[in-house]
Amino acid sequence: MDPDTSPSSAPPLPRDVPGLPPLPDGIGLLASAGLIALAAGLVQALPPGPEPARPLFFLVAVLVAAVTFGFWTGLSAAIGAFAALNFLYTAPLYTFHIARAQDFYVLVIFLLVAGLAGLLAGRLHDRAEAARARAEALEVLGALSAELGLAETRGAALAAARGQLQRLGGGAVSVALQDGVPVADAALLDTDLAAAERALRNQRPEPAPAPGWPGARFSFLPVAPDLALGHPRLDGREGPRRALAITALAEQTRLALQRLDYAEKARQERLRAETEATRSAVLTSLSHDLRTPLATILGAASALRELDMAPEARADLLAAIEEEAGRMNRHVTNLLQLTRLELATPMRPAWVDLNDIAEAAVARARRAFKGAEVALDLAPLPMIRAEGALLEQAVFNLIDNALHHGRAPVRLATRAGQGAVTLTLRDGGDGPPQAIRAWLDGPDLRPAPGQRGLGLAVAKGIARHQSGRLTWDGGFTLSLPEAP
Amino acid sequence: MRPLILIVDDEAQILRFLGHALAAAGYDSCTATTGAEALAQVAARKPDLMILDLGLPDTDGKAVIETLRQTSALPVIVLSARDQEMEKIMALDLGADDFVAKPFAIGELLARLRVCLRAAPAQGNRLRLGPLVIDAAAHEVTRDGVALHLTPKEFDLLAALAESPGRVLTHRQLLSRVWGPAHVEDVPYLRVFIGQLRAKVEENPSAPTLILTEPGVGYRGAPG
Repeated sequence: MDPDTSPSSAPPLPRDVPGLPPLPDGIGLLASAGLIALAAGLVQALPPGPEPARPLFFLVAVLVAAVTFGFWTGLSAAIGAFAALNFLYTAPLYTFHIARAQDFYVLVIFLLVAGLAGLLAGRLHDRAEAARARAEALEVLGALSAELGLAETRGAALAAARGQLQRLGGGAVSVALQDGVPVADAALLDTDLAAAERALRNQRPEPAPAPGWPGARFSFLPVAPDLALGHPRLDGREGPRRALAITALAEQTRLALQRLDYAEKARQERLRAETEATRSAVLTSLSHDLRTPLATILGAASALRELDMAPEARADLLAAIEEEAGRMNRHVTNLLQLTRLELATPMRPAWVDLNDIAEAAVARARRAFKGAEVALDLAPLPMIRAEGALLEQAVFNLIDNALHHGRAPVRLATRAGQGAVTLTLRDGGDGPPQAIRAWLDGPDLRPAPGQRGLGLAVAKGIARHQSGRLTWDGGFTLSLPEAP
Repeated sequence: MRPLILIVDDEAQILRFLGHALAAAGYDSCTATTGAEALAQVAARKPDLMILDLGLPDTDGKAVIETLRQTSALPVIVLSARDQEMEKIMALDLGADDFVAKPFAIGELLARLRVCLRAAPAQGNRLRLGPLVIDAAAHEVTRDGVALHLTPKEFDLLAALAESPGRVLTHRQLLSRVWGPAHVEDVPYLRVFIGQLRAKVEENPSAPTLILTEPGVGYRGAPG
């Protein structure tokens, strides 16, 4: 990505927040008081040891408090320990006075050591905390990135983003603009919806106001022009780090949604181009298949009218006109059929025997094409539920194709088995070119480029319309499911 | 002796009706269904004219003309479909003599056939185009004895159209002939000159009868 065009594209990962760590909470203070009390108790309970060992017990308490609860707690514990040491063990006992100058030095040095130890341990604790939070944020972002990469739809990407936001933000909602009105996928207050709408309108994050201030309870981040994600206000010491991680999450989501948008646009564009290509293939086929017979009809008719011809020539021209008109008629029938199939009119099945249909189609082919030879090899078949007229058209087209593009002998066979009845048409030729075999297996109904005529396209469309299939396996095979 | 016409088309039905029609109109015919076969037939049968479909399965019809023109001046009429406009013009520029658009009535084809079979383009000094008499040597054009004043370019244009009356000349052919090969793309220029020429030679320039337009292709002198 070009850094010049999108300066805000990659927000930084959460880092240690500069400045002082957050102030200690009540639990930390209570715990440090407890620890000091424990240290005092231990000193009392143990057999009286050498006096210099006593401060060490308190030092341990300070270290434990600092490591467990952080910098401020460590410091408070240091002060508390100093006070306890003064009160309990420094003459005059049970006062905060210090009688001997020597004790004063010991106490001051103790305070210094305890303070330093608490400081170091506390910082260690805070660093560890920060690293843990960072690791968690990284893990969340990593998981999200993997999920977004796999997401195929807007819905899936959004669900992934919501799931990870739940982990980071302690809750997640999404607000989508529908006809300019924000609609949330959870129950939200009007103030929340208003904040979401502001975030969407400005395309900028809309953080929740601090506790006690009026406004939304949720922070919202836009992830698409019409979609924002929200999470409850972040409280506590992890807040700023999490906010940064959530910003990164929103950015990732935004990019993923954008990618899906582009992919969708590209898909539609491809679809449009394909439709366009098949439409032009149909037009080319149309212009060839209609114009050629038309040229013969017009030429022959004008010759009959204008020229003085021998009787045999006249008869042959009239026969040519008739044949070509029949060819045009078949083509127009196929064209209408194809249009009907593309409109996907519902099937109106009846009980039919595929053998009857095969015989009818062969009879029609013999009438339509002079000298057409089709050998029949019919096996007994169960009746199926289908539309007889459509199937006859499909079989006729297969015969037409074999007679005109294949080689004699043409043989039609029917078989039953494996829950289907099949009709196979073989000829002595090499079969259709590779492009047409590939087209047969593909989803396209419109003819492949370079495919002359609509006959096969219609046969394929009819097979599909009747819940069957047209395949090539050394012959064109029409298979139709047996009735359940 | 009847002229022999070679019909080159891959559609059996077209060959069938053209064979009958040409026989009835006083021609002999032979056929070819591919470009290679067509060239072989030209060599073997020595036809007087070739009718060539531009949509052949094996080769481009243009390639057939290109090969043919290297060795032969055999007149060629191309049959073209509506969506082969560009190929038709290229075929004419390559040396085809005329074209007929499919589908066609037989009269149209026979008229083109007669023009193309007529003896080689008129030579000599005096050409005729309708009532016009064009004296190439004297650079003079008269209609019914009255001299018309044409510029040299207008004269050349008129002479080109009168040399082979009834035959189409493409824009490129006319431009190249009158203005030179560097100007073959200047079709709008040619159009202006044709307009001027019509204003001087036609009885009614808005309904021309001497210089006919073939839209998108070129111009045709009125058949004699």
